[in-house]
Amino acid sequence: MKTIVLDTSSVISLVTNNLLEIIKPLKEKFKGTFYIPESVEYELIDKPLETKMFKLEAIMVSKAIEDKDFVVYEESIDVGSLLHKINNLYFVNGKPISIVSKAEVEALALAIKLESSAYAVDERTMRLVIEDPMRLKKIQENKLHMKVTINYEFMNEIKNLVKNVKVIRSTELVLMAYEFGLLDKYLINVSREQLLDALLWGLKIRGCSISNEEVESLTDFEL
Amino acid sequence: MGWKTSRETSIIFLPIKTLINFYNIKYIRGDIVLQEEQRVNIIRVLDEAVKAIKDGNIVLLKDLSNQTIHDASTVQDQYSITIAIIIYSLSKIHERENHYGQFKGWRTFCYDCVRGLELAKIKLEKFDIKGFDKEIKNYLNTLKKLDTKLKNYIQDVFERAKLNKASRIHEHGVSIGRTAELLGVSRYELMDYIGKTFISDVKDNLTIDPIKRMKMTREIFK
Repeated sequence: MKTIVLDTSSVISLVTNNLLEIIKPLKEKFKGTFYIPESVEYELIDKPLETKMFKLEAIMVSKAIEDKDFVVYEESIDVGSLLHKINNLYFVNGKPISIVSKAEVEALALAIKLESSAYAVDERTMRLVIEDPMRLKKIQENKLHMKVTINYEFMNEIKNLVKNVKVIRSTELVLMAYEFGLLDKYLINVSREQLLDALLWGLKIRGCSISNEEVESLTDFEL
Repeated sequence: MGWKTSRETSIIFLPIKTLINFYNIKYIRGDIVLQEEQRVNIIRVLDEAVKAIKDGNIVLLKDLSNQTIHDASTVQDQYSITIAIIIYSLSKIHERENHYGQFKGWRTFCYDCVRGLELAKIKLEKFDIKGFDKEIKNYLNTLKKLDTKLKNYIQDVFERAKLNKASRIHEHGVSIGRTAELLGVSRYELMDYIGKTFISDVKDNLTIDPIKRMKMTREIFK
């Protein structure tokens, strides 16, 4: 069975842009299941329901789960080793920097476990750890103005674990929805260019890690 | 960048838990852990912050808050984070002194601010980590005693300072999830805040050409 695993960040980008409606038809086109781990469900629903802020978004995600647009993976996911390796990958003054949370690693571990077609994550650090850990080291050094050392043994082990993981973002999911015509209903008095610009900027300003240049490049590509 | 109005008004208080390696712990009193390097750094920052408040030096206050962000990002001790938030909040509050100064209780608040930081510093100098922890809690509790209007404004400043410091920690390479965990903010709030910064525009973020990623996604949906 084909699967895509979503991290909290990608679901947040979709719900805060009121774009959860694309998930059901997108899932039908994909002919598979969109999974989230239990810890992601907790971050998306349980936690915000305790407060006033983003309570509505939590209710909307809850409805999407109820409708089986997202399926919560209820079996146990072993994250211990992967979490330890990622949080002991970078060192400053001989001390490791904890860079990721358990929930984030759980989504990645689930994607590895299910051999998913893709792992959707809008969050920059997780994406860098998977795709280019040396680049993250450079970012840390630039910000800290200190030498950051890397545990090469762990880096190679992580690389090996994630070698088949394909990272996408909410951006790519929304653009697929756009290409399938799922968002054509918004093309009233607006051009395709305006719609694309609105979609990509909406995702960007609500936290998806996508640069201005990427927005421009993707808009040109789609037109 | 302008600040948004927070709908949440809960006062900040951060849990006193750290992930410090045990070999490096110098002072332990119950649950409270502080390394010597951080202790010395916090004393220096508090000392300079008190002077900056007395001199009305807002730029220095902001700079001091930024200095603690390095420790907050790497060692991730709760005190460096709390101090960074408090000092940044104070810089914002004093920046708008003309406005807040009109409210009842402003002078008392200013006095309590300086006194609270001084007391916290004295405790640290005496290696009284538990006492320091208590002073920080007392300091944050003094906000509750303020006149309602001023209290609401100041609590809002603290909430937004928390998000500002969280975005700075994230900028240093710590994930949104881990940062949210450290500062006790929700991932929704943090993403919303970070989306309005320039963090995603850093050139080094680009790992794969966006067109290549899009083509890969098309293959996944084939």
